[in-house]
Amino acid sequence: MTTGPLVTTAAVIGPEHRPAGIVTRLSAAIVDAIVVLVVGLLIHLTFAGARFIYSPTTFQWEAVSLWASLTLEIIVAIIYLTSAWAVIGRSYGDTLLGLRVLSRRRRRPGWALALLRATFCVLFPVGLFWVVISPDRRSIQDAILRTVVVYDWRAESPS
Amino acid sequence: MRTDEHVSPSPDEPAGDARGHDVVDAAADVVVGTIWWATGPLRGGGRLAARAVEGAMSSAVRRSRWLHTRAQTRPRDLGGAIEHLILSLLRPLIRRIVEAVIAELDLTRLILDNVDLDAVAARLDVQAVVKRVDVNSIVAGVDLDSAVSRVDLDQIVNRIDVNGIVRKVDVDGVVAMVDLDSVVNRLDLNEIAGRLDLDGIVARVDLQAIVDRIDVGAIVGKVDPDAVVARVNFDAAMAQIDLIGVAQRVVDGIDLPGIIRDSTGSLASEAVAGVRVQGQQADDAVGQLVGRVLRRRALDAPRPP
Repeated sequence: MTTGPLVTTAAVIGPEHRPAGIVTRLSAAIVDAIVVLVVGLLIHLTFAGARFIYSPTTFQWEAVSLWASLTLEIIVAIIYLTSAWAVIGRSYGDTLLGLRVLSRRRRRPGWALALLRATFCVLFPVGLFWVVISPDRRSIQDAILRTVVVYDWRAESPS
Repeated sequence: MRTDEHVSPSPDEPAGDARGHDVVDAAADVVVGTIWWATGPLRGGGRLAARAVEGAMSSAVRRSRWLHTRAQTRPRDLGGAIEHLILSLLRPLIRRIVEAVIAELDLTRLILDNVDLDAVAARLDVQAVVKRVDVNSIVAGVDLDSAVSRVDLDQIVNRIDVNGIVRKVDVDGVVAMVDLDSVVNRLDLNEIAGRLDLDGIVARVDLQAIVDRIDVGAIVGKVDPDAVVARVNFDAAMAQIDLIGVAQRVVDGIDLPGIIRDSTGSLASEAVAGVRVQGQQADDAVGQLVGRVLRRRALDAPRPP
């Protein structure tokens, strides 16, 4: 498992960089879910548009199956969260709510850790609510992967 | 004749022109006295000759009837006639003797060697001498222009202590006596102003120091802005202004898109900050609530991971 550059506790987890609670993290997750839905819808429309351009006369709206749509959304969500956490340490929802994901060594998560955490979060979203029970505000994913989500309102990404 | 006949002590008489006159008078007295002294023997001889002639004439009168008759008829004129006769006989002789004596003697040397001129001058009544002098006629005969032209005025002025003189002058008193109005009325101020080098004068003036000393606040405080504004013809002023051009330049100088962008970004940042603060407060509230339910001790701040 690879991790990103070191983000020290003093630099990131300061007085205002303490672990985030359930309300903020749930709000960020909802924003990310909306982003994923919009991206999935755009992908679906893109495929439909391509089919329309390819055969306008025979074009018809096809009824997409629930599983296909769900699979698409899951894949989009995993790709989106993995790239966001591995590149800048935060998704769009995290940026909006001022959150940042850190690894066990207080670094930006690496690609593998980001992929595991994204897959775990997408497939088992209920694990987020463990933040309410956890004394250090960790979800089940954080507890297993030893990650943490903190408040960080800085615009720049810690290297 | 004595040399001190017209001399009297006058210690108060100052030196100067009067002293010159005194010396001339003294010299004249000395000359006359000397002549009188030099002709003493001649005069003595003359008197002896006159007595001898008078004795001879008396004897002749006593012996001659004609002469006796003449003497009886004009007895009073006899002495005068004799004296007149003697003087007529001796006058040419005396004149020649005096001329010979004068030509022979160095009177100047004789006076300088034998006469105490200082004592003579000290005893001169200069005041009386001066009173007898007709100064006006002397001054009228003097060519003042030529005299002044020979005077080196610059040297005289350089020797004058002007500062000392000025210090002794009561300038305030002098100014108080001057009729400044009449003086100013006689001045051609336009001509004076035309001769002034105003640029040079202004160049030497420290305008900054003058401006610093001006109480601009007090001056502005005395200005009635309402009266000033009431006198302004705003319509005419506005008619001369290219308002459209001014507005166009103002709009060109303002980065309106940047202002709108900054304003929008600022509003969005404020909204996001509000959401974040409210999210943190909600997190803390949930944490405290769960802490009470679970009977935790540290409810406010979760321990760092």
